[in-house]
Amino acid sequence: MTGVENTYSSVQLPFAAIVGQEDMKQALMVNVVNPRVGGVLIRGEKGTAKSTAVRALAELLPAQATVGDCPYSCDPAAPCPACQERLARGEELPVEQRRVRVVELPVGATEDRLLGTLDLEAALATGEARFSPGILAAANRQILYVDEVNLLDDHLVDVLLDAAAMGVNTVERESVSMSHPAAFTLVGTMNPEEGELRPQLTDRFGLCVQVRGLADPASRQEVITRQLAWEAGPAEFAASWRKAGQELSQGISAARELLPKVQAGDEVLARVVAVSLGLGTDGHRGDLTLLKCALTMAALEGRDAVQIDDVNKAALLALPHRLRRRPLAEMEFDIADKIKRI
Amino acid sequence: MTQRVNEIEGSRRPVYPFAAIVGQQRLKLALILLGVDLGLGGVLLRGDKGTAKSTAARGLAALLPPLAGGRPTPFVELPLGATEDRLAGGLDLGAAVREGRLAARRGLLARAHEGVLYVDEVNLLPPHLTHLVLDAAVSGMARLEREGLSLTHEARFALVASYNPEEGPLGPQLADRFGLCVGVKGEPDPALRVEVLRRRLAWEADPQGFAEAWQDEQDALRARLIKARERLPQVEMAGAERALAAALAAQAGSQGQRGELACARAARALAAWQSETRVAPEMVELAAELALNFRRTRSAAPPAPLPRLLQADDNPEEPPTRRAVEEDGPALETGDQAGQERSLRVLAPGAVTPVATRLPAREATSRTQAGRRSAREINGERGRYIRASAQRLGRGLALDATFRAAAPHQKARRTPGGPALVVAEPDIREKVRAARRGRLLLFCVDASGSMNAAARMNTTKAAVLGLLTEAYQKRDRVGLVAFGGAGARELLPPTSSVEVARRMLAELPTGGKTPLAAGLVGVGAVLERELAADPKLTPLVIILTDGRPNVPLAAGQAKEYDPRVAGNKGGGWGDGWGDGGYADREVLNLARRLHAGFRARFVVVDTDTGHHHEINLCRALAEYLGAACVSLRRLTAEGVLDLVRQHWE
Repeated sequence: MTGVENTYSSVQLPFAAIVGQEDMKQALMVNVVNPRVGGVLIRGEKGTAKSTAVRALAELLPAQATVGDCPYSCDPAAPCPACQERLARGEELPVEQRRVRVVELPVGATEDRLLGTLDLEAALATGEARFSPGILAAANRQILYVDEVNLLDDHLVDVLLDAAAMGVNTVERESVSMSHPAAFTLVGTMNPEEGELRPQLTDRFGLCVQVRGLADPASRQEVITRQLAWEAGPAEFAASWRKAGQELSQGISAARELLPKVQAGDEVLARVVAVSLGLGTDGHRGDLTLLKCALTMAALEGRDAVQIDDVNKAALLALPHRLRRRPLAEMEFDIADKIKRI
Repeated sequence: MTQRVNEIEGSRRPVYPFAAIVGQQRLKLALILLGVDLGLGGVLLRGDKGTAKSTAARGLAALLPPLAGGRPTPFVELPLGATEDRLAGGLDLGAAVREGRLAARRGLLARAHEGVLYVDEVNLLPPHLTHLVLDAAVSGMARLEREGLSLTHEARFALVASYNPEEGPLGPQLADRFGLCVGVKGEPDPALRVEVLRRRLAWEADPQGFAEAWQDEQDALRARLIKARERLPQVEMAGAERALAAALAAQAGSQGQRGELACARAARALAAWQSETRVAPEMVELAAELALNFRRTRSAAPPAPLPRLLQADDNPEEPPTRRAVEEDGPALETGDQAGQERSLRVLAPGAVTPVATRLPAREATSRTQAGRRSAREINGERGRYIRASAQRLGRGLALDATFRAAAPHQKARRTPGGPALVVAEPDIREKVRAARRGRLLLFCVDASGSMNAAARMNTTKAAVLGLLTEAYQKRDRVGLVAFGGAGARELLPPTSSVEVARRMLAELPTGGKTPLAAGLVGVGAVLERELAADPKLTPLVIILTDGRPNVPLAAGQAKEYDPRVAGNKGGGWGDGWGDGGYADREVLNLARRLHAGFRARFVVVDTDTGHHHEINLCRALAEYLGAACVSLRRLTAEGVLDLVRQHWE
């Protein structure tokens, strides 16, 4: 298993130093706090810090208990089938605290690399059909990042959808028959000018945000200032932002702890459904994502109860990509007014 | 290797209980009936995203009675990336290599025996796999004939397949092979929707506890299902009810007999489920909703395919056959060019060698291939690996199949201390791949200053945006060439982005004369570029015009198509299209070149409002392009979209 993951831990532009793009940052933070929100699709023009933000996320990611030598980085509290078998044989699982990683799926990846394939070496040496894990294995319990997700080959999208829907990668090919956990947070970026994404895949992203180039001159100037400072001395720049980064990290940790205790009352559930129906979303997946996002946003603000306003704000992230579009209309992101009127 | 039985996640997480699914009565009923009678031929679920389709299928597996020996009921999910050998079964590689023994490995179909086989997004599954699955679902057997093995496994399973029509249609011949079909929609009632949310949240928080809370209801359902299965053989269906099923099927216009058979079978299962031993008329009616609604033939008969006016001409010098033209021949507006024309006629055919043209010569085979092509392309380098082939075409090596082919010979080939596996030349197998291929649609629109120009342009723009918005054509690209004034412009280079199209088409220039020839040259330029980038493309070109060209090409550009050059004189004048003006003949010459030179299909849309009975050039243009000529009385975006759909697939 080599060359599977790209991790970004070294000298990235710090997350806290990204100017503006609050929706995008909020959506990413929500996903870090609560992976069950189901990922985020970031749509926007070139040069709007999409990839920078995702890669910078790595430094904010929390540590989680992991079975050290498991190819699927499984959870010791809920081990994968292979580790269950080891337990049954009386083995002890080595447990480590490991940071969540950003695993990147390159657009040109082959199906074999994504799914995993027949282990050639083992087949030649022993004649055994053994499984060699792929990117989906590496992505279990991590963030799977697909840059330019709209350019991904159709058959890879199908496979990705399958895994994203089930949290399991099932391989039935090339004499290999197995399944392994592949529960990942899907983060995709795309430039809509290069083609749209299939609705089925769009729906698999919990949240969707639109990023635009910054409009106001002061912010644009700030971007230049920071970028130049970072380029002049990445290490010093990172050091000067360390404190802000740590505060973010602490906020995330606190929110993760608080999240299981956050309550949503009946009026909140009613509001979720009203907003969802009022905007005309497909299916029920939107309702659940909206609620989870609202719960997480409350946790990020240190509250243990969801307010109506959390739902309204969460709807801006959880629903734009689930609205039924009129045949010739653009995707609507400015739905705040509509939500208010519901 | 894990056996995927019921515990979907490979952990001990239970399945969301079937009994706890809110609403969705039709969906639940169809699945229950399938549970009562596995021979129903499968249930097809079509509907919105996120409407409990797969939850229900999984729930059904947990509801079915456990197998002999207390093994839990299998729930086998067919992944889209599956290969044929995994589905049907194949040679056991390990046994073959280690022991030199031919042993079969069961495929997914056999593994689903007495359980549920779930195929999500069945419309995306390669058709040959779908047929394999359906064959097994109907026969109850998985047959394996490959690699020297011939085996039959029992494979009686409940087939549940789902798809979202937004992602592309399921071919009618495939849909028809399912027994029942249910449309699934999101719950519109807010109170029920809150309940869905509440239960889902409770289940996610504590699956174990949730499942326990629903245990009694689950057990009751299961017990009733088992009783119904036992009762099923005794259920009688009288002649009147059989007649009713037949009548309903006929009324629905269901083709073949599968409809009434599925209806009758579902009605019997329904009777058994309702603890009856006789089928009542209302049961037949309810069963018909599930078994017949989706077989209903469309109310309006599908439009008859428009005949190609021109057969693939092996001899391009032969004039196209003239059809459906008024006796007095085309009346042309360009009377002022009559003198010029007479002088043209005296040139003897063949006196001048045809001038080299920018348009590439037609490949010998391209025309025959240019007909209806599926969006699938086999043997490409990209795409999904669907099966292996022993034919050597230099495609990627299919390791698995190569090993399997080598495996039986290992005992004989192995030498002490040598490698475990010895592969010989005849074992080599290559991968056959299938990929969906995007298509290219090019509009060529008359933007000249006639009365219709603005309507034509706006309609085309709406059609372009509509096409790009239609979700299932995401890989398709649409472009637009407009001609008006002195020349043609590529207003929209082929794109798949609605955003780009909207921006590029924000302003639509109209006015001026009608340089149709320039428009055709523009089309040729785009086709040449696009086909160079992807030679396997078969673009569809739609030309919208009044058919009254009045501007010839600029002098320098015109030489190649100049009707005064004998080699260019389209059809040798004996084509029945009369003496057209200079601009007309030029257009027809160009049309013939386009037809012969490119692997593309053309449709001419005559936008002439047709109050006056003048003959325009559209029909002639269509003939020379080997295209259909369609007259749209009322020009609407929907009309254009229909036209595209009709000619595209």
